[in-house]
Amino acid sequence: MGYKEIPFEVMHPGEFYYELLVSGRLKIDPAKKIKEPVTLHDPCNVIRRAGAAEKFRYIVEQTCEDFREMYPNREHNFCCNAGGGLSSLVQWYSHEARGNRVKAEQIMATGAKIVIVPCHNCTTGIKSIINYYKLPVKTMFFDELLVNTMYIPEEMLPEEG
Amino acid sequence: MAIKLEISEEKEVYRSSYFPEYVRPKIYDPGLDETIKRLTPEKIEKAYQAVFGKETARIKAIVETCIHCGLCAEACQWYLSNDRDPTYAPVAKVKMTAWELMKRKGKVDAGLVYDIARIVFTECNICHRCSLYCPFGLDITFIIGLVRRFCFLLGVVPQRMFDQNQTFMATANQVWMSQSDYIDTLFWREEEGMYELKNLRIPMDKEGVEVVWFPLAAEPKTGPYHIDRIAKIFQVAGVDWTMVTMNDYWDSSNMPMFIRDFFTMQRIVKGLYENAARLRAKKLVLTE
Repeated sequence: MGYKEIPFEVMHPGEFYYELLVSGRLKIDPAKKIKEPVTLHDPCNVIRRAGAAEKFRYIVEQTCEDFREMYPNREHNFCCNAGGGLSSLVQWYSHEARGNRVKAEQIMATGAKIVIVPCHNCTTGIKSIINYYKLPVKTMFFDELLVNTMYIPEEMLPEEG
Repeated sequence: MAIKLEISEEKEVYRSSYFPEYVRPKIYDPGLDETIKRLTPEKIEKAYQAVFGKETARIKAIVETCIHCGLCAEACQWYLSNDRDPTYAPVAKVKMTAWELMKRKGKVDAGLVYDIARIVFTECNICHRCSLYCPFGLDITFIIGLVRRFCFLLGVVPQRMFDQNQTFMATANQVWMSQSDYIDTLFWREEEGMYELKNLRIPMDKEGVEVVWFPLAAEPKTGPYHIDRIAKIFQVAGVDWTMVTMNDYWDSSNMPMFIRDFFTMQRIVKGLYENAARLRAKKLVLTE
């Protein structure tokens, strides 16, 4: 592209949220923390190839009260089975869900009610497992998690009426 | 997203004529079933020569170093989920695709191309977990990627993947969204978000910002709530940020990469890169 060194940093929002939380620019309201048991799915691209595992765990531990690890986790996680373009193959959805029974077992073993999936592609994969095996869990993104738990200053709230 | 279980339980069985142990449910996909009818041995050999013809050191190193220990099998979720069926193991996927092609020097018929395309496109996620467990650290997914390239040159690609690739060629995003639609969606989300956060702004094409945020094209199309959530987080944290609307390059998903269409792939990346460089951003944040 003409540049040997990229003139800017490229990052996943999870890594950026981590920076915001650590530097104190974004604060979490302790009263709003998620009470239900949650677990975290590690997306291949940002965990196995970019090594953001600990940053993601920091965000989850800040915003949730009951965090349970899947096993195996971090860079040894199993894929969501929607990677490599499979997320768009509608004809193959049941084939895809059958091919990822281990992920369903992994999620059920944690006993969590919410699976935090910080990747659109992985959400497609996890949702097709949830629908196929009828798992009693729901998926959540980091943005939803933070919007629900962050501390909003008084002056930023809209006026009544 | 609702999935009907009734239609998905396939009764018919597909048996490969090349590999007797490769037995799978029959799933109709026009991108595979129809395109193999157009193939001729000459076309297949030409595509083989284009991808594997040079036999580079990297391909040779991977193919000749592998000792068939099968440690990668235990790492693959396809293998573990299908009751340890050996045809789902990563080493078997490489054996049935790249090795078979190289053994026959590309002189194969359309039946094998169907098997190959089915294996590399629908039974591998390129998740790299197998490379993590390989005692030599061989990049198995690199071989799968090469075979995907071979299938792409022949046009034997699952229909939806090929369709999305063509969408990228035409509009540079995956959902046929025009620039005016995109800008309109951002204004709409700004208006909606104002009821929850005072003076919510979604800045567009602002120069010298801290963060440029590139969404996934599905966000303005089917999940617009993501945009105002991001805007709220950034506004509360006081981040100086912007979104790009000045040209078509704003979609951060890169579907051409999955079928190894290098030309379209580099067009997308170059477009995103140039947009961020033009706005002199310090950070480029892609969507979740």
